Amino acid sequence: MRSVREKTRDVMRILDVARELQRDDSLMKKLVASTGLSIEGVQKGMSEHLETDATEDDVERFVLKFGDVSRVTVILAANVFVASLRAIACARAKGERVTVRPSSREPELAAAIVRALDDPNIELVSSVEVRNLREGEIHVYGKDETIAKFRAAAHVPVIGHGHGLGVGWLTTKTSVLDVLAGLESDIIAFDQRGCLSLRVLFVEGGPARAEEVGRALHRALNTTKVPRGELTREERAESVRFSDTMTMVGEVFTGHAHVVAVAPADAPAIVPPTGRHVLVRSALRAAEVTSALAPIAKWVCAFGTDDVARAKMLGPSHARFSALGRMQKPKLDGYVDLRVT
Amino acid sequence: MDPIDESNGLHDRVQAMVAAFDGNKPEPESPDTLACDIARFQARNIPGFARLCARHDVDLQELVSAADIPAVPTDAFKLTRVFAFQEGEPVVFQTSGTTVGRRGRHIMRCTDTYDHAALAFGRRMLMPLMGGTQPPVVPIMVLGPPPNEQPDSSLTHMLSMFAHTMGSDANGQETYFLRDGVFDLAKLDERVAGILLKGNQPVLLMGTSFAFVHFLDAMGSDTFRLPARSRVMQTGGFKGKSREVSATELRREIARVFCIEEGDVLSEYGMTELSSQFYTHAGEDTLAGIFTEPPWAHVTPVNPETLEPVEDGKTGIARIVDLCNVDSAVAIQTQDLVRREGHGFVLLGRMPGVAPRGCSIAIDEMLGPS
Repeated sequence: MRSVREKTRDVMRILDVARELQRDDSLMKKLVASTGLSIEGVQKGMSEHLETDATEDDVERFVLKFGDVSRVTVILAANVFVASLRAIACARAKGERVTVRPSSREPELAAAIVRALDDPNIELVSSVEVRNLREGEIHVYGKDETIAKFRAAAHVPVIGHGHGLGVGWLTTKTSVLDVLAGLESDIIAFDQRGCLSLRVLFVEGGPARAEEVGRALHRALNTTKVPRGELTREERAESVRFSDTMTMVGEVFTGHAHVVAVAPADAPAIVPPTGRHVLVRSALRAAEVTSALAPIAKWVCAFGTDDVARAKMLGPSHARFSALGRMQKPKLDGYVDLRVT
Repeated sequence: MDPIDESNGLHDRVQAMVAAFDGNKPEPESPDTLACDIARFQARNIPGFARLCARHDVDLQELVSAADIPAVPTDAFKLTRVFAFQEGEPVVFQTSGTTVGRRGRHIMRCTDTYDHAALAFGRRMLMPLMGGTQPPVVPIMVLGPPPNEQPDSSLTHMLSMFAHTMGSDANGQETYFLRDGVFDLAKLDERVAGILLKGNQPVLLMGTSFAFVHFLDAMGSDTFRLPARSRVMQTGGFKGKSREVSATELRREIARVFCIEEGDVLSEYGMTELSSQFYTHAGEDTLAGIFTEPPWAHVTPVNPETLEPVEDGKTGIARIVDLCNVDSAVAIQTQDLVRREGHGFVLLGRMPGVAPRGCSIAIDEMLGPS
């Protein structure tokens, strides 16, 4: 069994490798091709959202959160590309040996990390026969349905990291102009494909304030320096459907690569599609946030706000609460999804 | 003009079109003209629809074709009031499925137009060659709950109206054979036996697809003989309510269990957000799954990205113009995949949701069985 010092060293090595990869232009190009994000989107992901800024003390606290198992098999089914770093770090903190099966859609970063580590205790595989695994545990990142299938087939414990979304709450104590850059960042990162991505923003105050926030957000997204990547045909179809539906409900601001829909206070918190689609909903009273969130609360992984203390009384306890602009920049403090127990 | 008067005038015109169809007379006016007048009325009285027209750059004054009316997505019925009047909800039909905790709501001033149209087209499509009377009446049985168990279901309303209007002996006879979710096979058997004893008159048995699947499961390899020339009408999907069975297999199994021809197992396609229905003709059409429209409704497959009609023979999502939706949405946009074929269209299931490209939850995933 490794000591805390040894585990910390092993995880620090992973972060060191990731820092080197942040400067790898050829990897960036591969990520553009595999993710469909713009080059600026990939650069933003690598420079601002890859969790490489943890200190040795941070990492020591991180590894203390994990027990010990002989082997962790990491199955990356569907996740944003930077998520592979934390997934491998969590696995390495816990497992003597680690097997990584990258996502078939986006294998580049996970593969690059493992190859650069050149560690005999971390192997890269293209497929995993779950029912043949007899030791350690499995960490699966993907849809609930995928996780359920692995659980049904596995003979060892399966730790599932399901899909989710981020919501925000802007109170009356802050002007939208003060948080606009943060809101923009929370939305544009990974084109909202992350489980921490902001998709529904509650605005304390009446419909007029919600519309003001929606307009401001629309202007900010129109002038963003990070272009959106390509949407698939299906994603474009979902965008049309969302835009037309929300036009029936309230105001819709459509940019060349985003849609901001503003809904009145009695509208349900319908979750927009990914690809820079945001629902801004008026909430006259704070308690309305809780009731509007109820049908989707179990999927809320991130809760961004200008008033974290009050927000913790409104949002689901399993969410990561953070300042607006920090939703997709969580500290390296354990599993990214706090719903995982 | 007062909106109520305007609505009444439009209802009268739609009902005149239905009456002409029922009486085998020429259409009193162009469906396009009527559809555009209804769209103008709706844009004046439903702010969301006015915004939708503006979004699609539709000049309502210049509108001459129903194909140019912006279609209201069915999701909108779950999220907002799609009704030309701000006050009151005289009749509300609700969808069974929910989105983030809400059911779709179709509000109507009254069901007169709905009833006239449903009856005229239902009679034409379901009853030919069955009854010797004019208009034809036959014993009708419903493999579903009575209206008091589902008062807000448009399907239950329609089946009840059919039983009441086209059924030959509904008074005093058991019509509904699903109560509190339990089939009463003994009563169904008793009713059919009585009919067989009286002279083998054909019957019409109607129900949802999932009700028939449960019925088939209950019957196993046994049969439940219906009188010769009887027909079965089945409708709706099964998601989350029973095992899923292909349309072909279900039709074949229904024909086997009830000892009728496969061509006499008809399908109905309708939805809460509509006031009109579509049916497969008995015979070749039902075997091929081709649905027929009444003259007051039309289904167009459109490209889901552009909402433009697809080329002939290509698959698209169903955009439906329904003149009977006078006070709600004369054109609706569904997510059902369809293709024009012959004089009608075939239904090809529902457009699949977007595959996630990250860990952000997809809308379809949230609407799944979990």
